[in-house]
Amino acid sequence: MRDRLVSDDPAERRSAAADLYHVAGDDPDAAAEYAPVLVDLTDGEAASEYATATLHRIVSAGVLDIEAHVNTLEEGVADDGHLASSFGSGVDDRNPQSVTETELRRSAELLAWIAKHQPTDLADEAGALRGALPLEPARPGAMKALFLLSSSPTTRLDVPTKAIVAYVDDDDPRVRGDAIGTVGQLERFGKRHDAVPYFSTLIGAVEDPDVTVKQTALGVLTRGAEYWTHSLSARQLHSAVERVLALCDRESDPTVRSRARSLFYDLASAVVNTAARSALGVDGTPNRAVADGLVETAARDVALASTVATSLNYHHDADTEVRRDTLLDRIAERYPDRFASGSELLQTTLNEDGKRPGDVPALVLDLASVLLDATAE
Amino acid sequence: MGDPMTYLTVEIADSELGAVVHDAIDEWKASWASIVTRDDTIASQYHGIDVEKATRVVERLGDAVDRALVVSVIDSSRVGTGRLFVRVDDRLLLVETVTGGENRGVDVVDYIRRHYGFPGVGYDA
Repeated sequence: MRDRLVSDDPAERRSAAADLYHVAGDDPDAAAEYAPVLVDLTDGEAASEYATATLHRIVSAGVLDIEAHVNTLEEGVADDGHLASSFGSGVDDRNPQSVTETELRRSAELLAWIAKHQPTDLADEAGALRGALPLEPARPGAMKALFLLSSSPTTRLDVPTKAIVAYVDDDDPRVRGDAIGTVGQLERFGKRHDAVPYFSTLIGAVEDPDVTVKQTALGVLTRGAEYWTHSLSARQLHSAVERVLALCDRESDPTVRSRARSLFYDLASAVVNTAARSALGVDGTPNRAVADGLVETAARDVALASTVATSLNYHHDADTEVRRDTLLDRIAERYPDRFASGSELLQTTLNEDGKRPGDVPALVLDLASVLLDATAE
Repeated sequence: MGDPMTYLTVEIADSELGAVVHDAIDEWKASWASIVTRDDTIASQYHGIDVEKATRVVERLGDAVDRALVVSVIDSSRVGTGRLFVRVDDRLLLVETVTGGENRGVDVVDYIRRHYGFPGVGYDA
């Protein structure tokens, strides 16, 4: 079986993996000895589906030796330290390395599989996974395992966030994405209202060239954003709005765009509130330009305008009234055949006799209602 | 516990088979809340259907599907579990099962896309 799995012929490797898939269904223990070789067949191979499904069967049965793979990582770390300390020391050390790069890579990947199916058994070994991160062959598997442990509902990952942040710039997008996902879990984004440490790292990642990394960073940032965005400084908010707005406008991927819009609503709300507080002299430097710019942006998009309008409603100073009227006028301008002005749009919401214009989105009328409440003050 | 919410994303093997998939999903019409179609992908969302039931839907879709992702979220804990299926030699293989944190399966959808390139749809997209 082993010879067939490592054959030079891709068709032979695929056929061997298919046979092993059936073996693993009846006797996962018997298939387990081939798990390290299967790891090599999971990426971009004709055999990859069978190899992955076979690993799934083996790992689901819980028959892999966790300790052996943890030991491989620890030996790899020891080798690395040994080489580093002897480098340049003039000591001619002929001791061969005890583990190969291939063994390191395979063991780290298998530990990631184990992290999915036996997270509580692996949680105590998080130190070994963290220790292996500097070793390039082990890094993708070790980071994947750390991410899976961090997001498992049955374990708590005991690793400092700093140790993970070091890899958000890795060359491998999967390592970057797993690192960002782990940072989100460790910093409890979505569970803690003041979760802003490492914010600049996460917001930087929304501009990553890889779409899956962008998606992951936005997935972390949108958790509980309606709360924690209010803990950001004006500078952090400003920079975040610019980056996220660029994605709302230009991003072609539907998931990324949808998440960017969701995050923008929360950022917009925080910006307007911050700006309004500043204008009232409650805190810090007035930031009227930011709020004015935001109104102009929101006017281009009714869904965004709704969020801005709700925030405007909390404040009843003169500046806010001007912004509110500007917003209404801009929206009315989008429907020139329906509304002559923003005030006419407001009047429309007063009609309760079913004469609401059918070709205007309900959102526009809801928005005007929100603004009308403020006008009634 | 509350009712589970399940998101099903299927990649259609052939665009002409889209109607077949729609019909199969239609059986669950009483419970699906929304459906989106993107090119060769159909995504739907179900109230009160757990991962086992959704898996049976996937199995019934048969030849019409190349890949399918089922992400089921427990309402009370917001913990999501995902299953990824891939068609090989006329059968669907279960290649991945992953459980995520308390974020309605968002991290599960992201993980599957990062490591398998399959853009599944979850509660936020």
